[in-house]
Amino acid sequence: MQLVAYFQDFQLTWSYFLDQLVAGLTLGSLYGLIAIGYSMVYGILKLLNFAHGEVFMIGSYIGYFVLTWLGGAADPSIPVAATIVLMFLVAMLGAGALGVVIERFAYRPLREKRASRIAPLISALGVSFFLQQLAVILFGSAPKQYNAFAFDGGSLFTSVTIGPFTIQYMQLFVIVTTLCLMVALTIFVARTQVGRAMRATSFDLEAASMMGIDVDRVIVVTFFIGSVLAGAAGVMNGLIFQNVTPYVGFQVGLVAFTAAVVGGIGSIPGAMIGGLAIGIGRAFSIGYVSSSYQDVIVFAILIGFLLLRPSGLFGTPAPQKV
Amino acid sequence: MRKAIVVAVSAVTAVAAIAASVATADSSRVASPAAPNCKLATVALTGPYTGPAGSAGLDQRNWGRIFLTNWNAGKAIPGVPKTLKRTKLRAVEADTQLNSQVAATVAVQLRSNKDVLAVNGFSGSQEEVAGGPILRRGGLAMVSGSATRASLTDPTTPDGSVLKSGFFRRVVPTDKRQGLTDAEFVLKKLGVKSGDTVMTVDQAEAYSVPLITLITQTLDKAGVKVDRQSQPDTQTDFTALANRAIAQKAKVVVFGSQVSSNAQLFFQQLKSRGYQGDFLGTDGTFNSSNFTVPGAYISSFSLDIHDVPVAKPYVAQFEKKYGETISFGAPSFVAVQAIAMGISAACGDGKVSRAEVRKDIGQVKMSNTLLGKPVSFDKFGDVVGGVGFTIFQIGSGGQYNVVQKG
Repeated sequence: MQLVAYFQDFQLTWSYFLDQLVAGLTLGSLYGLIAIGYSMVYGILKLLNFAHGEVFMIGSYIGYFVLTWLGGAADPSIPVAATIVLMFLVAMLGAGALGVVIERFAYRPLREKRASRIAPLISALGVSFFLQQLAVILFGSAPKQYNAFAFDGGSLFTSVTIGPFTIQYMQLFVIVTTLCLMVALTIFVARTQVGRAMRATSFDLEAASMMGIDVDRVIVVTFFIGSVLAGAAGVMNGLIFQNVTPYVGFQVGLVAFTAAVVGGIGSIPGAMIGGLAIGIGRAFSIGYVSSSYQDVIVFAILIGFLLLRPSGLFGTPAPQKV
Repeated sequence: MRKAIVVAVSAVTAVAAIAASVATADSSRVASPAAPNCKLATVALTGPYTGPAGSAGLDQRNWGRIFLTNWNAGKAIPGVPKTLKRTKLRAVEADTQLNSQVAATVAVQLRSNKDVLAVNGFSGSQEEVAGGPILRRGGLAMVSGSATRASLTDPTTPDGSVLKSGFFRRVVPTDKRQGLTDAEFVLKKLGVKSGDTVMTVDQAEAYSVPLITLITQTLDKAGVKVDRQSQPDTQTDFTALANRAIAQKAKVVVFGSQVSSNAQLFFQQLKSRGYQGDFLGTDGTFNSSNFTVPGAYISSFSLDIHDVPVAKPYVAQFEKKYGETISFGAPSFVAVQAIAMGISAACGDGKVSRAEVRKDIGQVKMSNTLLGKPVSFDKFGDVVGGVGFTIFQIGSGGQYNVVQKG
C-alpha cells in the first residue's frame, strides 16, 4: 500500500507502463545487437574485444556520411526507404570490413605468437582509443546530426497503435529490424556449414582445427558478423537518437559488454536478452524512480543477479579441473 | 607473411603516432621555458577543443585568435584606448576537453611555463575548480569567457576560497543571475502558476547541477511542483524522460546542459511524442548550428553576436576565416582583451611579472566591448554592475530571436 502511495497517479496507468516498456525495448535492442558482437568474439577467442564499441561508432559515422551524400534527411535524392537501406548496407559492410581489419592486424599476430591472454586485451583497448582519436581528427569532435526527424516530413516519428502499445514508426523499425537480424543470425549459426564451424570452434578451438576446420577463417567470419551487427546498431542509433560523436562507442560499448556478461558471455540469445534487460531496466528506473539513480538501480540489480548466477542467464559454468 | 605483418604493424604505429601528435599538438606547444618579456608576451588560451563540447570550445579559441590578430596588427578594437601602447602577444593553446582532470594537468603545464603571463579560461566551472588553484599557486591571473558558477567569485564558498579573490575574473554573468532570470521567465512569461508541474533536468556535471538546483529552488518557492531529474550528458536517449514529462503534463521542461545537440534531441523527442509545453535550455545549449528546433527558448549571457552592431566587422572576419560562429565564444574575445590590456599596462615600465599582470587586469576598464557593453571588474572578479541574461526563442527557420533582453 505504501509502495503504491509512493507513485504519482500518472505512473500507475497502464499506458505509461507500456510507453516506458517500448522505450526500454528500443534502447535494449541496440545494446543487444552490440552485445552479440562481444559475445561471439568471446565465445570463440575468449577475448574481450573492447574495440567493438568503436566499430559501432564508425558504423554510425558511415551511415551519417551516406545520408549526407544522398542529400540529407530533409531532401534525399532517392526515396526515403532506399536511402535508409543504402545507409544500412554501406555501414554494415564498412563496419564488417573494419572488424576484419582489426582482427587481422591487432589480434591475429598476437594469437600466432601465442601471447598471454592479457596482451590482446591491451591491444583491444589500444585499438579502441586509436579509433576514437582517429574519428576526432577525421570527423571533428562536434556531434554530427542525422536529423532523421526531417525524413518524410517527420512521419517516421509519428505513432501507431498496435494492440495496447502506442509506438513510433522509428521505434517499431528498430525493434523489428533487430528481431530480423537476430533470426537471420540464429539461422546462420544453426543451419549453415560456417555456422557449424563457428560452434565447433567455440566449443574447442584446437580440436576444431585438428578436425580440419580453418579456424582463422571462422574467426574472421565471426568478427565480420559481429561488426556488421554493430554497424547496423550504429545506423539505428543515429536514426533514433540523431547524433554521432567519436565518444559514443565507448559508453555504449561498456553497457553492451555488461549486457553480454549478464546474458552469459558467449551466448547469442543471452546477449540480446541482457541488452533488453538493461534497456528496460533503465527506462523503468527513469519512469518510476528517478533518472538520477538509473545506473545505480540497473547495475545494483545486475550485480545481485550475477551473484546468484555468475555465469549469466544463458552461460554455462566453466568446468573445474580437480 | 611475417614481413607483411611487420609492415602492417609499422604502418598502423606510424599512423597512430601521427594521430597522437596531431591530437596533442595544441597542448604540446605549451612548454618553452624562458623569462617573460614585453616585446612579445605570452598568454594561454584554454578551452574544450575536443570532446562533447568541442564546438563551443573551438568557437572560444577562434574568437581568442581573432582578438590577437587584430591586437597585434594594431587595429581598432572596441574599448581599447587609441593611446594605449600595446604589447604584442603570442598564444599557447591547450585543450581541456571540459574535463577537470585534464584541466588540472594543463594548469600544471601552464604554471611551469615561465613565458605565460595570464590564462584565458577555464571554460567550464568544474575545470576552474580543478585547475584554478594550481594556476593561482603559480601566481597566474585567469579570465574566463564562460565559467558562470556563482561560487567561483564568492570567497565564502569552498570554490571561492580555493581560487581567492584577485586571481580569477570573468566577463560573463553568474549562474545566480541566470538561475533567477530563467526561473522568473518560466513564472512570468511562460505563465507557470503555483500547482503547475515543471520538469527540471541537469546533465550530472558541475555546470548544470548547481544551476538547475537554483532554478528548482526558485520555482519550488513559488509553489510550482518541480520534478527534478538528472541524466549524464553521454546518454542520448531521452525517451523515458520525455514519456515522464508528458505523462505528468509538465508545462515547461528546463534543461541544463553544455551539449547543445542533447537539447536538440530532447526537445525533438518530446515534440514527437506530442508534448505541448515549453522547453527552456540554459546557456550551455546556445548553439545556432546544433540546437534549431522551433519554439524552444534558450538563455544566454551574450546577445547573438550577429546582432551586436559593434561586432559586425569582427564577425565577418571570424566567419571568413573559421566559418559560422555560434556566438558562444564571443565573450572569450573580451576575456583575452582584458588580459591584453592588463599586460600592456604592466609593461608600461618595460618589465613585467605575473603579479603585475594580475593586479593590472583587475584595473582594466573597457568603455565598450565586442558584446556591446562596458566591462570592468569588481573586487571579487565579476563584471561591475553585473551582466544580464538574454532569453531567445528559436524561430521557424532555426534563427534565434530575442524575446527578453538581459
